[in-house]
Amino acid sequence: MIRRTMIAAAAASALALVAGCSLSGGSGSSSSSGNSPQSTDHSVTLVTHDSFVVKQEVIDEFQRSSGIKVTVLKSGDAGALTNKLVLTKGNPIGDAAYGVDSTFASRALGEGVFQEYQSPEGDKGPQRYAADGSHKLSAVDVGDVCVNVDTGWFAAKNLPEPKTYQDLADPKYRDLLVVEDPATSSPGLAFLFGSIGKLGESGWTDYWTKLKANGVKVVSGWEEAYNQDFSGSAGKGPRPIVVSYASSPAAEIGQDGTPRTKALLDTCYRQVEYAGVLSGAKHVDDAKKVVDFLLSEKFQAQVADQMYVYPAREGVALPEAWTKAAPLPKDSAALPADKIQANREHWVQQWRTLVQG
Amino acid sequence: MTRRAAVGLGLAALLPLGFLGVFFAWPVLAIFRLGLAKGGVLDALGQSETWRLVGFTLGQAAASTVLALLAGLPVAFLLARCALRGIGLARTVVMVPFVLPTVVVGLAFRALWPDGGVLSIVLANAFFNVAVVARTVGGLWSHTDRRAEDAARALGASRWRAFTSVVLPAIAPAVASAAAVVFLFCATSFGVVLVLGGGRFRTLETEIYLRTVELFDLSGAAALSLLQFVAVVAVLLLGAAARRRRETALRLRRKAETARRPTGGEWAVVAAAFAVVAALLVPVVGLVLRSLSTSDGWSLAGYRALSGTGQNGTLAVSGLDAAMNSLRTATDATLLALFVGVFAAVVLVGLRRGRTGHGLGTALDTALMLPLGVSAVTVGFGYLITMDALPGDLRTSPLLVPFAQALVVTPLVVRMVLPVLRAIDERLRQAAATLGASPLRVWREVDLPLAGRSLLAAAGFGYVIALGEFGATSFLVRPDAPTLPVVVARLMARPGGLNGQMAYAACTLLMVVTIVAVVVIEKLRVPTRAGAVGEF
Amino acid sequence: MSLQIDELTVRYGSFTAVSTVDLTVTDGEVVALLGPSGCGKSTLLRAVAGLERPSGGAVRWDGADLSGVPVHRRGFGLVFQDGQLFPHRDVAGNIAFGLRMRGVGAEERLRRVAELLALVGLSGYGRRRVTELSGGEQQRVALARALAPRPRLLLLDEPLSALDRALREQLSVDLARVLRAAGATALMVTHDHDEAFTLADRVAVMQAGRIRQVGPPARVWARPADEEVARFLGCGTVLPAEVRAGMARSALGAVRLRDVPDGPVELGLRSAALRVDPSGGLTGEVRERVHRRDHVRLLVRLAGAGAGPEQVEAVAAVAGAPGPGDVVRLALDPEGIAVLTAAP
Repeated sequence: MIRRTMIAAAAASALALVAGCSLSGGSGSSSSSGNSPQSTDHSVTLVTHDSFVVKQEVIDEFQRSSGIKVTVLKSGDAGALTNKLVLTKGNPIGDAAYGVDSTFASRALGEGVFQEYQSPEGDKGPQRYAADGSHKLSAVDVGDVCVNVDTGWFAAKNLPEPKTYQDLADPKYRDLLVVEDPATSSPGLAFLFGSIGKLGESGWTDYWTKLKANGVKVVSGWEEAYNQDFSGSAGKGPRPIVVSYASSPAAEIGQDGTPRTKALLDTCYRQVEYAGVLSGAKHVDDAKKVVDFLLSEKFQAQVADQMYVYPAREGVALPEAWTKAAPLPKDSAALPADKIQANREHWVQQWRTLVQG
Repeated sequence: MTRRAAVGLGLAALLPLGFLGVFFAWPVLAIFRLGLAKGGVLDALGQSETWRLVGFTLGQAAASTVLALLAGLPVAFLLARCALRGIGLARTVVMVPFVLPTVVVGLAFRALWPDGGVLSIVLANAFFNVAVVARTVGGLWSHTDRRAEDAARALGASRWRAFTSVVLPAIAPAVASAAAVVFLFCATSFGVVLVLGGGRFRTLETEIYLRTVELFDLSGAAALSLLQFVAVVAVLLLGAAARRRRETALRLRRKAETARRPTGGEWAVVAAAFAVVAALLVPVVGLVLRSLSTSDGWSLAGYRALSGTGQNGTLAVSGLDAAMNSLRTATDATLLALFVGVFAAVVLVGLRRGRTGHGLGTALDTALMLPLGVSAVTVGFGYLITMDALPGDLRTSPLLVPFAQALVVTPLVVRMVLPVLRAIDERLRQAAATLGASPLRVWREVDLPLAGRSLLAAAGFGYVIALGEFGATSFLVRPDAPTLPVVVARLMARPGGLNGQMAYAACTLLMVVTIVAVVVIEKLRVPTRAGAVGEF
Repeated sequence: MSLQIDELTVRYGSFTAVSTVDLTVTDGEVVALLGPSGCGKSTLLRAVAGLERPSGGAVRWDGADLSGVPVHRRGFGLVFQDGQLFPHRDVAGNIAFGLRMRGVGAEERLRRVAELLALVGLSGYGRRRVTELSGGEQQRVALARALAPRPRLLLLDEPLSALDRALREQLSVDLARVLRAAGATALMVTHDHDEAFTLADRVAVMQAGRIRQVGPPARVWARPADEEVARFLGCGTVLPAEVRAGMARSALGAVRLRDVPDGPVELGLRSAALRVDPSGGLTGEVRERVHRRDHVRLLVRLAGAGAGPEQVEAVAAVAGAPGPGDVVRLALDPEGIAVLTAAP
C-alpha cells in the first residue's frame, strides 16, 4: 500500500514535471512573443496559413540583420486565413499577412484588408502574378495543381499516359482517376477552376458529365486521394491518376533517383500566394520590410523545399529533384480573382448537382 | 436550504457560468449576430437541402450512439464488475481511440471498407466513443451495491430480468449521460464524416465549416448553426428528462466489494467486451504497422525522423517537442476543466437539493453541454471578433488553446462526476456539517473522497480528450507550439513516403503518450486523512 | 445553557410542516418529540440543527437567536436514523471526525475516541470498517461520533427505529445510560412511546405540526391532554365517566383512580385497562387473540352492551389464556387507564 502510494506520488510528480503547467508557470515556448529589449520597438506579427514553413537559419538571419523580431501566426488554410483577416480588419491580429491565394484574393481586397505597398523587390518578377492593379498584394509563390500519374503503372499496363483534360474522359482511362471534392478541398477546387478555365463556362459541365460517366472517383480531401487511392504514393492505392500538385513528383523519387510519378503539365491550374501589409497594422514600416524579406532571394530560394511551391521571383534556382521531376508548368490555366469571387459558390453548387446529384 | 447556502451556491455558479459566458456564449453569439445581420437566414431554413442535412446529421448520430452504447455496455460491465486479469489493460486500451486524429482513423476505416459510406461513418463514430460509454457507465456501475441485484436473483429474476429491473435503473443516469455526450460528439463529428463521407454524405457540421471557412457565408453558417443548436438543446433536454428522478441516493460501495469473478452467462458478456476491445485494437495495430512499413520493407525511419523536424523541416518543432506541447496544453486544459466542472457539479447538486432550483439546474446542466454541440470553427471565429476586447488581446494568445479544450472537457467532467455526487446521501453531508465541518470542509471530507475515484477518472478522460482535441486546437494553436494531432494532420497533408510514415509514427507516439498519461492519472490518489479506509 | 424554540414555523410551499411551536430544553435534560410519522417532528429537529430554514419564529440558545448561525457553527450533534457513517472512514475515523473539525490534537483525539468506544461498548473496534458493522453497532458509532466533540445539544432523529425490536429495547437502555453518563442535553425525535419514556425527562407530543402536550413521561402517559393525544398514546377506547370521591364510574363499571378531582372526566383505556378476571363485572366473547411476550392481548365483544363500547381490548396472563369463542369476564385495572386533562 505504502509502496503503491509512493510509486503513484513519483509518477505524479514526473507528470507534473513533464507537463509543466503553462497556465501557472511561465510558458517556455513563447520565445517569439519577444521579451528582448530591442524587440519592443521592432516586432512584426506575420499572419500566415498552416503550410507556412521557413528554414530557421533564414529567418534568424533576417531578424539579426533587420533588428525586427518576427512572430509567425498560423491561421488555418488559405480560406480560413482570409476570413480571419476579414473578420479582424478593424483591429488586425498582425502586421503583415502571407498566404492569401488567388482564389481568395478578391475577397480580401474587396474587404480592404490590405494597405497599399509596392515592394522594391517586386520588380524582380513577382509582379507577373499581380492580383490586380491596386499594388496591395505581392505574389510570393505559385503552386500549380495538376493531374499526377503513376508512370510505372502505365508502363506495366502498356497504356500510354494521358496528357490532356480530354484524355481523362477517354474510356481507355475508365475508373482510373481520383479527384477531390471542390467543396471541401483546395486542389479539388483548383482542378474545377482549371477545367472551367480550359474548357470555358459552356464546356466544363459537359466535360464533367463525361468524367462521371468514365468512373471518376470523388473524395473529400487530398489526404485520401493521394495517400490512399493513388497508386503512385506510399499508400499504393488502386488508381493511377490523381489530382495533386505540380510539385508532388519531387517527393516521389525512388532509390534509383528516377521519379515514380509525373505531373501532366497540360492539366494545371495556377494558384498564386500573396503577401501584403495589413490595414491598421501597428508596425507598418517593419511590416513592409517583412514583405520585402518574403520576396528576397534568400526566402524565395527555400520555398520549394519547405513548402512545395514555386518561387515567384525570377531566376531563383529550383532544387535538383524539382528540375528533374517537377518543373514549373508553362501553360497553366488561371481565372481572374473577381470572376472566382462572383461565381465560385454557384460553380460548386452546379458541380455538386452534376457529379454527386 | 438556508439563505446563506443559497447565496454561496449562487456565487459558486458564477464561476462556471462566467467561464461559459466569456469563452463560449459571447464569441458564438457575436458570430451569430454577424451572420444574422447579413440576412438570408430564413432562405437557408426554407431549403429542403438544409433539412436533409438535419435529418442525416441526427440520423447518423443516433445510429452511432446506439452502436456505441451496445459496444460500450459490455465493456463497462467488464471494467466495473469483473475481477479478472487484464482488466487494467482493457481500461487503458479503450481510451486510445479517443486521441487518434480523425483523419488517420478515417483513412484506416476507408482501408477496411473502401466504399462503406454511412456504415463506415457510424462505425468510426462508435469506435471513437466506446470509451465514453465504458468509462462513464463503468464509473457509476462499479459503485452501485451488488446486493440489490443478488436480491432480485434470489427472488427468482433471471439474470436478464435482474439486469433490466435492478441494474439498469441504477446505472440509467450514467447511461443517459454517456448517450447524451456520445450523441453530441457524433452529431458534430467533422473529420470522420468528411473523410468517410467522400463528399456524398454531409452533416450540419461539415456544411457549417464549408460555409464559414471556404465560402465565408456567415449567414448561411449562422442558420445551420442555429439549427444545430436547437437540435442539440432538444436532445439535451430529452436526456435531462430521462435522467430526472433517476439519480437517487445509492449506497455507494467500494469497487473491491462489487467486482468479482464472472459466473455462468456473465462470461458471454465478458467475451463480448473483450471482442469489442479487440475490435478497437484493429485500427490501432494497423496504424502502428503503417508507422513501421516503407516501400522497402520494415523501418524505423519515421520514428527517427520524428526526433527531428521532419523531411525538409516540415514541422516547426520535433515530434518530441510536439508531444511535450500536447502534454503541457492538456494539463492546463484538464486542470481548468476540473476546476470549472467540479464547481458546476457542486452547484448542480446543490440546486437539486433546493426545491426551486430544479429548473435552474436543468438549464445550467444543458448550458454546460452546449460547447460539445457547436462547431469549433464557429467558436474559433467568434474568438477573433471578441477576444480583443479582453485585456491583453487574447485573440492570438496561446492561452486560448487550453481554454478551448477545457470547453470540450468540462461537460465530460460534469457528466462523470455528477452522478456520483448526486448518489451521495445528503444526510451524510449534513452529518458532517453538524460535526462542525464548514461547507468547504464538507466537500473536502465527504464529497471529494467519495467522488474521488470518478473525479480522477474524469481527469484521465479529460486529459485524453484534450490530448486528442483537434478542431479547436488546429484553429488556435501557435505554430511554434503545435500539438501532436496538429503535427499528424500537417504531415498527412504532404506527399512523400517519409512524411506519411512520420505521421503514423506521430500517431503511435500520441497513443503511447495517452497510455502513459492514463496509467499515471489512474495511479494518483485523492489525498485522504487519518482514519480513511481505501478508495471509493 | 438551554435551547428555546419560540413560535417556530416551517413551511414547504403552502404546506405547514411545523406550526408555531414553543419548546424549551434545559441543561442536562433529554426531551423527546413524540408523534406519528409525518407530524413534523423531524422537520422541527432539522430546523433546530439549522438544516431547514424556518419561515417564522426563532431557535435560541441561551437567548441568542441562531437564525444567522450555520449548521456547522451551532455546536449541535445529530444522530440519524440510519447512522449515516462516513463509509470511507473506519470506526475511529468516524468518531474523530468532529474532533478534527474542531482542531483537536491527534493525541487528544485518540484518547477521546477510546473513551467513547468504551462508553458505547465497542472498545477495540477503532480500526474496523463501518460497512462491516451490524446495524446496532453502526448506530452506537453514530452516537459516539455525535458525542465526541461534546456538543452543547444532541439531536437524535429516530435513533433506534431502523433496528429490530430486541436490539432496539436493549439499545434504548444503553442510550439512556450513555446520555446520562455524558450529561448530554438532548432533543430526540421518536414515534415509539417506549423509547421516549425510557429516555426522556420530558416528552412533547406532536401532531400535525403542533405540540399538543409537554410534560414528564409519567404525567403525559397518565394524563394525556385530549382524545387525540390519548389515542396516540395507546388508548384504544375513550369514554366518559363521573368521578366521585376517587371512584370513577363509567359504562364499563367503576374503578378507583388516584389524584382525580370529582366531576365528569374522560377516561382513556389502554388494552391493559381491562384484564381477564373471573370476579370481573363485565362479560364478553373473545374474537381475536394476539400473543405478546409477557401477556396475551384479546379483542373482546362485550355482551349486552349498553351505553359503552361494543368491543374492547383486554389482556390476560399467558398461561391458560382464553381463545377465540371463549366467554370471559373482565375487570377494570387502574394501571391501564389514563385520564384526559381537557374538560369533556
